[in-house]
Amino acid sequence: MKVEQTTKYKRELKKVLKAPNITEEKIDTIIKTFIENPEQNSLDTKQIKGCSDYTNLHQIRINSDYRILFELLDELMILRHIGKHNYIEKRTKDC
Amino acid sequence: MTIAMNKQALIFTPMVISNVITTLKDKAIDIKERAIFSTIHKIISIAFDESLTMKNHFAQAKLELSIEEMKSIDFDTLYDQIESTEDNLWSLHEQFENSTNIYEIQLFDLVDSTLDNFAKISNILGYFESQIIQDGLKSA
Repeated sequence: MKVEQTTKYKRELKKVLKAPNITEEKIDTIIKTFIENPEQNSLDTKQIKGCSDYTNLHQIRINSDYRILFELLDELMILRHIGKHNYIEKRTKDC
Repeated sequence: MTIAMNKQALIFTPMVISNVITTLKDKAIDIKERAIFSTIHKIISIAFDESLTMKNHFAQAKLELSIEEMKSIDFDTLYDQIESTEDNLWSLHEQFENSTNIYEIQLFDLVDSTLDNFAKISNILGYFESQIIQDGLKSA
């Protein structure tokens, strides 16, 4: 699986890494876990439904506060957003 | 004009609310004026067009911009311009989230709906980047 990051994701990541208990290694591990086992319970994987242009938009959990939003296209994973759950919710609202 | 960030410095009267509304509108216009590329004007206009639903925003964005135009966008420069305002709005959002003061609730609603517009901008830009990434992989 090829993993790509949008500019926005890279910028958000820098901010998220300032939060306590979140490291780049932890995020990498979470993404690898998803690739190997998307149904892993701890990820709380959710497909975002109702987004006309993002039929393959998914969300996974980093911890109780933070989520990652990404598109899944065949063998391509595009990391779109990372942030607090209310920030991520806004990006999936009415889409 | 700077949005006051210190809660104690604000007295929540209708006039203050009105001033904040004006500030937010000015900010939106300011972003338009400071935008570097003509494509950005299109994106901001689409995102702030209240007559469009999110699904329509994507349709409109696709209609108005070609893949070449999408590639011409300097995403970092654009986000540099947008994020400071959005970050300030998120601070206000957090500050007033659980307020019971009627003016603060009004302000929260206003900030919340403005943040929806910022989310639309980043959704449209994210969609463009996704298209560019997919186009690049097809061409490789």
